[in-house]
Amino acid sequence: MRPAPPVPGGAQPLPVGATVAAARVAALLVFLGAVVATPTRSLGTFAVHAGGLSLLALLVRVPAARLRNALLLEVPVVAFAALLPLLGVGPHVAVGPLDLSVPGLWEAWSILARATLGLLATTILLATMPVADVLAGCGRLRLPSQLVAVAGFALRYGVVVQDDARRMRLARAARGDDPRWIWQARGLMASTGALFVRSFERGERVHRAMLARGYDGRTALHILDPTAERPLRPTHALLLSVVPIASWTATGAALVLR
Amino acid sequence: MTAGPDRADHPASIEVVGLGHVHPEGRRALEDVSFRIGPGERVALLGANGSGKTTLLLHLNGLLRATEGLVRIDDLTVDDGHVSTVRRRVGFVFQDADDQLFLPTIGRDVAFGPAKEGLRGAALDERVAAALDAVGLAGFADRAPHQLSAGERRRAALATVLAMRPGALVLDEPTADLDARGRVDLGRALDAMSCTLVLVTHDLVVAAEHGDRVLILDEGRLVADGPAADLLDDVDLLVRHGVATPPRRRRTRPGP
Ligand SMILES: Nc1ncnc2c1ncn2[C@@H]1O[C@H](COP(=O)(O)OP(=O)(O)O)[C@@H](O)[C@H]1O
Ligand SMILES: [Mg+2]
Repeated sequence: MRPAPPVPGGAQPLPVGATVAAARVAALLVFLGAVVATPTRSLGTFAVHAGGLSLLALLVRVPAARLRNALLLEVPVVAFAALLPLLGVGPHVAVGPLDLSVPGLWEAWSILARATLGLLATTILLATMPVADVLAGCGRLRLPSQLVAVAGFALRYGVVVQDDARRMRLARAARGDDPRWIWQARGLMASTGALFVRSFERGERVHRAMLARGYDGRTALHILDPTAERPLRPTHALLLSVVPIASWTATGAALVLR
Repeated sequence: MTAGPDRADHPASIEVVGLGHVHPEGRRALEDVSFRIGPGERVALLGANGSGKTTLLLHLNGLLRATEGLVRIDDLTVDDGHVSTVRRRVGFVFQDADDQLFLPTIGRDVAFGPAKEGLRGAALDERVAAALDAVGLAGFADRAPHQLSAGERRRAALATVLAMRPGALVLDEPTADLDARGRVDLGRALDAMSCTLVLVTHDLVVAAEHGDRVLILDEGRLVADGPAADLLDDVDLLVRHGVATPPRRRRTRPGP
């Protein structure tokens, strides 16, 4: 067994650190399944999901900053969800000066709760093992290899594009363009276009570099397979399955009692 | 380990005959370029920006195909029939390491080429470890590219190519974004190599350190080809072709 590699973000690889990558990815998928299947109005079930995640986050000591950063990804979802109570039909309730649609409110809750739980669960997984192992785990679970390849690519070049974007923002700011107000956004729009072109050119160059190493258009994804087998210890398997099982139990109960 | 003679022990020869290239937009990048590089020779390729250096390198690996003249690696003409052999034989280290490192970890990226050739299991692990070791990055296999410094990324890109045991190595401005320590580390890795070397650079010091022979391109034409010791001392020649700045007398400031 090779020693657990350092994990970005400083989370502790233990106690779930020695289990097979696939088992962890599977646990995540099972948990997500429970979250998706939960009836929207079953608040208690959502509480069980959230409780299980909190427990895991504490156990593996995921830094709070990391969880917070992950939740930033949710901003577009929040913006979308906020519209639903305003635009929804059916019975309405008055909240202060606003007249809100009740089904719209539930719809917004449904989206926000599921997105939040999904993001947090994924973040906890990513915090406890290197991205490559996550991808390897996906490969072992027979998730479609194209999907795994795309995910790997997105993860790798997400960082590069972010870097490009940061440099371009600095360059704009250095020339006095600081788009804090919407009417200053022209520079932002222009550089978004430039970023798109840059990313496209990057794609062409990456493809050329792959060709130079003998790539012939067929995928060579077996290199994402885990090379070393890491046994799953019973205690870890138990620990890992507690949260998804609890979540499914709560969801099942909610579905039956509905 | 693969059976049979180790290809790395057989440096490749490179022959370019009357090579010309016109980019799709109609811009001529190379014109009637000819030279021969023997097995194991170390050549520095100099030229101003836009003189056609990158275009020439792309021809050596079959990424561009000659429409005027021809390129030969060992006894193989670079054409559709031989391009996959040529790409295995000539390793290409690109100018931007981020273009080359496309997988989530360094180890998997280094494994990509040899795995594509069919290497698996322990033999593959061994090959990856040896390549990383050769560039001074032993123990970096599990790191993500963005966790490396520019110098380390550059050497990782070199390792991805070395893992394929090329007979010739072409590098496009490998020191452009490196600090002094990065240059020293890269230089050490290059010194240990026995394959044929073609190194594009703007840096005359780097050219002197790694090139026994110097080629100079100017506006797509080969304008000089000779021993590094002679050409790098010919200041007039270097200045004329935009490779060096004219010597200037030290500016004297008016005294107080
Ligand atoms: N893909 C391309 N399409 C059109 N013109 C190009 C392309 N790549 C390079 N060129 C042009 O060809 C000439 C040689 O370029 P290049 O080989 O990149 O020079 P160098 O590497 O010496 O700076 C330049 O004038 C450049 O503008
Ligand atoms: Mg160039």
